[in-house]
Amino acid sequence: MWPRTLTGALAAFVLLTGGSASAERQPDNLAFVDAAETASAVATASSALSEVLSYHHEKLDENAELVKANGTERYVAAHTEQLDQVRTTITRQQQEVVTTVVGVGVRDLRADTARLLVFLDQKTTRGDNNRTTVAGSAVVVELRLVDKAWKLDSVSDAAAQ
Amino acid sequence: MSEPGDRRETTEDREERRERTWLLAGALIGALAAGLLLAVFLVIGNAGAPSPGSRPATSSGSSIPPVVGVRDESLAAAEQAAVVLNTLDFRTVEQGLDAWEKIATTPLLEELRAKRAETAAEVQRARTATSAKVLSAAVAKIAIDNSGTEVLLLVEVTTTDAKGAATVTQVREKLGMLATGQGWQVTSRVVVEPAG
Repeated sequence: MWPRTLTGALAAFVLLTGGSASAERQPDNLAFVDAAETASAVATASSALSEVLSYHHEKLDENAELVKANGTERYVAAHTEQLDQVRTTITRQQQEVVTTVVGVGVRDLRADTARLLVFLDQKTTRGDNNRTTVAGSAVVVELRLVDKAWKLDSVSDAAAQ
Repeated sequence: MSEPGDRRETTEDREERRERTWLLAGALIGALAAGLLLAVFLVIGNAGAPSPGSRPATSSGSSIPPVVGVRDESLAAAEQAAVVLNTLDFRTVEQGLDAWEKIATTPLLEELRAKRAETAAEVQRARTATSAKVLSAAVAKIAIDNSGTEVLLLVEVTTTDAKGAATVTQVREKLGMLATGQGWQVTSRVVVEPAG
């Protein structure tokens, strides 16, 4: 009879607990728990993204230096690869891009990693036709603590997450 | 004399009755176990979050800081609210607007009520139905007294016209969330357009 008793017990347990799930608690997530590190991650993401995603077609080498200063090796490699793909277009169109961070949310914070959602506005001016456009985007930013400083580790389209 | 259908209990009947008894006993054990588990969850969980009808917790004896519940519950509520606030079908517009108002509180609630007729007329004129899903979200701010949060969300909105043609757009939103007697509710909503 115990198998039947067990079946009844399991059925009641599943029925009573199955529909009660609410917001998933993440007690290991230190976002806003560690206020200082949360603020530090937000400040780093804001300043680093504004710097590495802003560039002038005649000063791409300066941009490369900023990327090295603000990113991990992983990020530097990814950024360099992406820049190389559009370098010709940037030069031909005489682009100047100014990136402004308009919102930062912290999704996850650990001892040496952080994951943030960032809203960006990018103002692109083309020198070849004197046109300026402004586009908004949302990116997911991963930071990594390197030598006690937050560095960009990856930047990806938030819609692709 | 016995009534039609009345009969003596057979061996099979007794066996069946015994099986039902064991099954019922199992269900009771399961229910008790589930109740105990839920009670434990509630005790742990309520250490960090405002419960409906009460002020947000600001301190507790639990090792989980109250801000954890505030962060995670307001985020979950904002994700659900963003879907509701971006969903409206011209065929069921009144129910849709009721759902909007149900998750909103002052001052957003007053704004929604003030624009209700205008919004309904607009959607019925356009004959569109929108649905939404949250692509990404994160908490941007938490009030120092844990009473409110600001949440960023990237929302994918699908607009379908009367002919069935669908258009998909991505919308950046900031929702202000407030702990109220009815749980976490939306107090403000801003669509973050690029500053041109």
